[in-house]
Amino acid sequence: MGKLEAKNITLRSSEKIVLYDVSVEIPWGELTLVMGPPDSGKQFFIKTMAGILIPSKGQILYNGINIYDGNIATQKKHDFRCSFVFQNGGLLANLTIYENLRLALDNFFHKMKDDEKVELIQNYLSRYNLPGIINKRPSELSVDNLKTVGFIRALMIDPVLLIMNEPFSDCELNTVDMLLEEIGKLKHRKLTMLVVNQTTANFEKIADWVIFMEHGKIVNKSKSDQQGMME
Amino acid sequence: MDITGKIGTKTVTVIGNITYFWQFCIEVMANIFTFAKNIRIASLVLMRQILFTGFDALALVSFGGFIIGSVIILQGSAIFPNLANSQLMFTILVSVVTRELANFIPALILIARSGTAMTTELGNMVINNEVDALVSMNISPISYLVVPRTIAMVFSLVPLGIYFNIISLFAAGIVSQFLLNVNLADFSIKLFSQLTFLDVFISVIKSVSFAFAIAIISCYHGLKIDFARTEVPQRTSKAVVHSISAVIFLEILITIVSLQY
Repeated sequence: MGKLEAKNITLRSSEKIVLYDVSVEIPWGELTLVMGPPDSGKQFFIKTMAGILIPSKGQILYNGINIYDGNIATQKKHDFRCSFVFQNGGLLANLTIYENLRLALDNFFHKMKDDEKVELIQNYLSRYNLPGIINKRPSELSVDNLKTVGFIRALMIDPVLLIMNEPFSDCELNTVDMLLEEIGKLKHRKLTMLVVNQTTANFEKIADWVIFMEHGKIVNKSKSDQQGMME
Repeated sequence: MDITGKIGTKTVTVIGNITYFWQFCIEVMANIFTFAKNIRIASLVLMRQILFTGFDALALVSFGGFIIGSVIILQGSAIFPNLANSQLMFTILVSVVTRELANFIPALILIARSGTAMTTELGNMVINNEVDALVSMNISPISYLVVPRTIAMVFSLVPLGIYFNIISLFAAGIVSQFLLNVNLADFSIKLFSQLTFLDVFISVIKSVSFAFAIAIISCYHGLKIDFARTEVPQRTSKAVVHSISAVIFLEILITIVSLQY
């Protein structure tokens, strides 16, 4: 068990304050849905939670430790691995799919042997019915496949926190079903997940908590059944 | 806002940008020394950059070198009719080609080819969330993107400078032999009698300085792009202007210092 919380986060972007003194605890081992109107700051919030953006004030605490203190060793020491699934996949355009996935493995698993990494990548791609794309570049893939590879890259490093930005937008129904099934399995494994989505669609049954943001502030955090997600 | 306020705001912005740029430079230099630790993940980027920046520029540098060497000797022959017996012509050849143009022309070629490519590529990476993806995987964009490009620029510009020098002087010799009837062997002996270790050393120092300036400025502008694709061409043209300015400044500075020796 861990405890993850944002404490008094203030974030500036282009001279504008986009997060105002945000404090919230992210329930560990549960799926939290972050919602809000456009420009409510939800994208900034999840990027700050992932350590991609550094707040001008405040901290992200993991078990009371400032986990993004500028030293990667702090995360390693506390066995904290956060993965981020980008809306567009976030794959590096000048690398092949294999090289993209390999980059994540090389960075996180120094002791893993080369053939083990190759096997792991092949296994993941086969599991998601994508074995034929291993040597393709991201520009050759459909939106669905880009998202799926982004999802695979996030899972491969065995994260303790998985953050997803609009995981189903622009996806076909069968891809949505497949990703939902995988997210359901991760939820069953008690992986902590933070998901930004425009609507509650697809998350009615699997979200545990809903955070609602407006104007860079969290205006409501409630259990999903209390929110009345289908409203 | 009144004029004083505008000047004040502009001054603060400029000072902020300069401070940020120097912090960026320091971080790049610090990461260069720890590059060996990241070679596992960044070696592919380094190899591709050396191939693109160095090897792929050979044809253009050869062409430039040949033209410059030929033109200098043809212009020189108009000033020094008795070229074969003129020591001054060879002194000028070494000073102009080896000390100055052998670094300057390849530097301009690399600004146009690779500097612009770096700014555009990194800018698009920022917009496509690729840089954020690296950060999310705990990979520093400085060590993964900027340092390999800086090292590749150094490893490309230094050999290209030497190569340009060889091609230019060779072209000067060939043109002398075939158009001005100056014996190539005599030409070579007189040329090498003027060429010192210091000339080559200064040439290499200039190449290294230019390479650092071009790579760091180009990458800085690429990573400074925020959200909009329209920023990419704007930043690219800024990177070109700043790179050329930096190269001219360094050229003058190193030349002044080298003239003391």
